[in-house]
Amino acid sequence: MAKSKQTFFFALPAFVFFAVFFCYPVLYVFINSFREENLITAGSFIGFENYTVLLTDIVFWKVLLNSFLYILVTPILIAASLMLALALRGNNRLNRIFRSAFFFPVVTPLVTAGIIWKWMFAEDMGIINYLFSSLGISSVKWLSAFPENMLAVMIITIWRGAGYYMMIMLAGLAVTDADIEEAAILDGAGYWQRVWHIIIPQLRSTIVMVFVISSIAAVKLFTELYVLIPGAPMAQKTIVSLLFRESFEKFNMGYGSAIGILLFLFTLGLSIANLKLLDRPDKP
Amino acid sequence: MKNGLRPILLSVVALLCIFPFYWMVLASLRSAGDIFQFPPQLLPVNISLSNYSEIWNAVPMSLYFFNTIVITILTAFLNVLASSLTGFALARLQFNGKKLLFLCVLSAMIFPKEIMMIPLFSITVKLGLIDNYWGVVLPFAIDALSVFLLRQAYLAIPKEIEEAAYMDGCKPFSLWLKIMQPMVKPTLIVVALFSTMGAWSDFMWPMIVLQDPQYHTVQLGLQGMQGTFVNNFRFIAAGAVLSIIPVFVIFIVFQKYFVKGIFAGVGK
Repeated sequence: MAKSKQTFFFALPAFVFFAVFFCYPVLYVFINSFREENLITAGSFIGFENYTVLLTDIVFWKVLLNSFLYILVTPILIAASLMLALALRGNNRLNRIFRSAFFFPVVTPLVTAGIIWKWMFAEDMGIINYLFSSLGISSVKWLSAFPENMLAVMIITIWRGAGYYMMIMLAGLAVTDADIEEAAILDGAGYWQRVWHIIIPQLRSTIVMVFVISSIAAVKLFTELYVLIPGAPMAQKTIVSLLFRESFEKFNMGYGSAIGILLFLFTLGLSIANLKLLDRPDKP
Repeated sequence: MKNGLRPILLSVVALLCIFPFYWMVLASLRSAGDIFQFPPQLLPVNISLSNYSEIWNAVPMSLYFFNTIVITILTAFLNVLASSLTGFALARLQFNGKKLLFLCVLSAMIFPKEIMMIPLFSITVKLGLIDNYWGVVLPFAIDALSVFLLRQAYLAIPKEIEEAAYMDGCKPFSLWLKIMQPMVKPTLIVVALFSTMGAWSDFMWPMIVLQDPQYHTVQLGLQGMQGTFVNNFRFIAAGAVLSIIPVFVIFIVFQKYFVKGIFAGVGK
């Protein structure tokens, strides 16, 4: 390893950046969570008041519950992405075309995705309710009723996520041991037996990774709700929606910071797991 | 699945993935009368491009695109440059505070961006960068995950190459630029690609920083149209189609790097 004057040049931008845009803000958000702060008046230290107000506010518990309820999409995403990956395992032309088709929703920006689906979910004129009515199902209040609007957001999440997690599953499948599978074929194991007893056990860390990533994304859901159901009561939204409203619409920065610290604590376990998974040596 | 059901099921899923796009494109091509037709017309009949010219004239779409392109280029350029400098330093150089810097990178990966926005907003106000491209770009100029991935890429290069370069009188800068940059090129492209897509699609932070509509990005403009054209979805649909074309083009051209990036753990 070299020690040179040039070292300075490489590390300096990062030191400045992380000091100004990471360390200082983290300290600031922590301190502010104990302050009343609105960016206009001087603000003051109020101890744990932000936290006690938050923890006794029923809306906070409701948005927290909603955020964690969005984790319910995770098992569906795991099953769907695993099935797609299994079906598209071989690297032939047709499979590549299918993979691309499933990936278009992934690269679609969130606001655009929200607008597309708002049109599909429209309650009077939407294509989905039209389909339902022609099947004799009564129309669903996708945008105006709770928990129907939660279901709508979950559908968008699955639409955008399945192709993404399919790619992660394919990466996992690429490093499974083909010899064990061939031995199982010789022993007369059927396809689903091989999937259940041989492939899935080998994909365990990949599945955990998908679970962790999609759970973190679910808890931090915001933009979809902002686009799809802007007028819905806060109690139907998520913890990041509450953080946004308090911090950037009401400018209760202290209160917003307390929400942020709690969100950080609630996601800490998942985030650390994510970091460990990224750093594991057997990663495909 | 080795039976005949496989292609049928896959086609159904592909249809579910693609249909929403088709339905939006169709809405963007319809007239005011046809769009609310009941029962809905599933086929492209009686279509025209007039909604596109109308939306282009009704809202400053070209300005939105210009703003987004500037922000996207600045973000991707800064992130690739700074992350590769940092990643190289962490992987290949010795300096005081190296452990501290790596700890910062790891912590930044854990700390949700949504929480950082509160203090970063105050800092951006203090720096006078509200309604300024730099206000959007600078606070997230170095993406910790990019640093992490590039560090791994530089670490994977054999030590002998570094030693040989130093023996030949190479300085760290030319080792980085001339010898190692070409070797980590795929990772650089992945990082560039994901920061491009991220910057193009970003919504929450630009919405906070860019309050003057003159600086709005395409995504902010689209969200604004939802209020302006409440009863004219065909205009919003035309705007949405326009907003999506660049990302689709980038995705189609660089497809294999997206796959590579996801295999490495980039993205969401």
